[in-house]
Amino acid sequence: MRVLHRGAGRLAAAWVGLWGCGRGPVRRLSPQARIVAGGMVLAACLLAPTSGSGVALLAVAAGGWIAVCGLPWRVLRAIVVVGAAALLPVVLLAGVAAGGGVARWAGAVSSLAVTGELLLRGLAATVVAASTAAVLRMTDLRAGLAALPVPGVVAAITLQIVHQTGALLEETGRVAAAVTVRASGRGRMRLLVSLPGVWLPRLLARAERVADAMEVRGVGEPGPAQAGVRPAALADGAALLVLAALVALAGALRWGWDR
Amino acid sequence: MTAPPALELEKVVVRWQPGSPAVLDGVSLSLAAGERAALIGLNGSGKTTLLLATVGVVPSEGTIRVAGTVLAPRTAAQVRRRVGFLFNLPEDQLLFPDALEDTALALWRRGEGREAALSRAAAMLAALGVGEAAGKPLAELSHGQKQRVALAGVLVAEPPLLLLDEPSAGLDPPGKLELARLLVSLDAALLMATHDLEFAARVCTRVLLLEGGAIAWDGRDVREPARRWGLAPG
Repeated sequence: MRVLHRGAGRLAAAWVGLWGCGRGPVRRLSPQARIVAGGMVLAACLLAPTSGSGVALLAVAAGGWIAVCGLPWRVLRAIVVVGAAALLPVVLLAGVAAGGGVARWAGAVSSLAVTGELLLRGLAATVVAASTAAVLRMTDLRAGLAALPVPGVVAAITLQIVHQTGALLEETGRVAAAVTVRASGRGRMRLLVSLPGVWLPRLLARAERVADAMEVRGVGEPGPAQAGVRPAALADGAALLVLAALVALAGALRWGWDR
Repeated sequence: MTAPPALELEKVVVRWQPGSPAVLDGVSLSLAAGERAALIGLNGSGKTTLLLATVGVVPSEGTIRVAGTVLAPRTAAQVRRRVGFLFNLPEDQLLFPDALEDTALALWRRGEGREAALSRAAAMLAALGVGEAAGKPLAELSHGQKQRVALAGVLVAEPPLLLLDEPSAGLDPPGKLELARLLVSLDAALLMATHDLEFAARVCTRVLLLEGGAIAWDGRDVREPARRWGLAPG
């Protein structure tokens, strides 16, 4: 339980610290261009095939994006570890499923291929998303979403998912702290059993109260949400053009223009 | 022509389920512009519910008017723009991970420019003694500091009506004193739910005692609730 307490606390701090920690040149683009650019790199990573030139493109796209976003090394390392840990169960299950019902050797090769592809894509998507978050502070995310043709409610919910993820991790840490302090001996087992019944209603009640606060404070209301939005500049256009070419190249490799 | 009251409640009833006992049972009150009233009552007496009903978060029967505008689904957003509302827990109120941005929300909402809004937000945080919190993630602040940041977000837009749920909770004694001075200096009408009778005496000129979902006493002597509870000589 102490491990859960520490883990939740560290994750909450890391989540909060991730936003806006990047120091790369992408920060000079407007917030909306940063969001779209991150989406395009992500699309390129998901489109690129996982063989030969596709893997090279994927590596260049993800590595290049990490570099231009200026994701700090220690953050990158943590993201890779957490991402791999989160992906591992799915990747292993998919590998086992892919290998089933085929001759032993062919099955193993097939499993390995599926596992490798999922891991590669999953990790690339995770680090690209994290790098994009690193060049967006919460103000930038709000301003960027306001400048894009995204419905106000969707933008508000996106912002709240980002903010409340940290808050929920904190809440989990508090529940774990209470259990750590109060549970001992046989009581500990009873508390652990009742934990989901405490934790879930607390999170739901909190979500309800936050929804009330959003309503009262007018988050997501149509109105002058554009305040503080920087207009798109020439650099935005150039960056997006380059990334559009990257997405097109990934698509071409996948759907075989070179065949 | 006289200005309408800042807040009027007429026979407001709140039930959690149809047919269940009323949490608020026909509450009527009127708060003049600039008047400051404390809403006092025991735990579970309905103070928070009354405040939430006033901004339409809790459905109610009866009539609620804010500066003459009747609260209805169609007018709820308009009413809320005139109200500064402080929730019971700052963790629920704060919707941005950065104190400065959260404080500036109400100003952005009404269309103020980015730099001007952030500058006013920073000034309000400083006025409430949490200027240093401006650049910090909220997760790193103490409960009292979060409470002050939440208050800054409410006060920065200078709304004509303030509805505050336990504003002094979690504040240290100097912080309470500073907040009391600040609230007294404002022109806004104020209705605050509190258990802190000393704080209420510093800030408010009127006391409403809520018992069993109804206003049991409405007067100026803040010691009256304590007398009724047997905590002060009669």
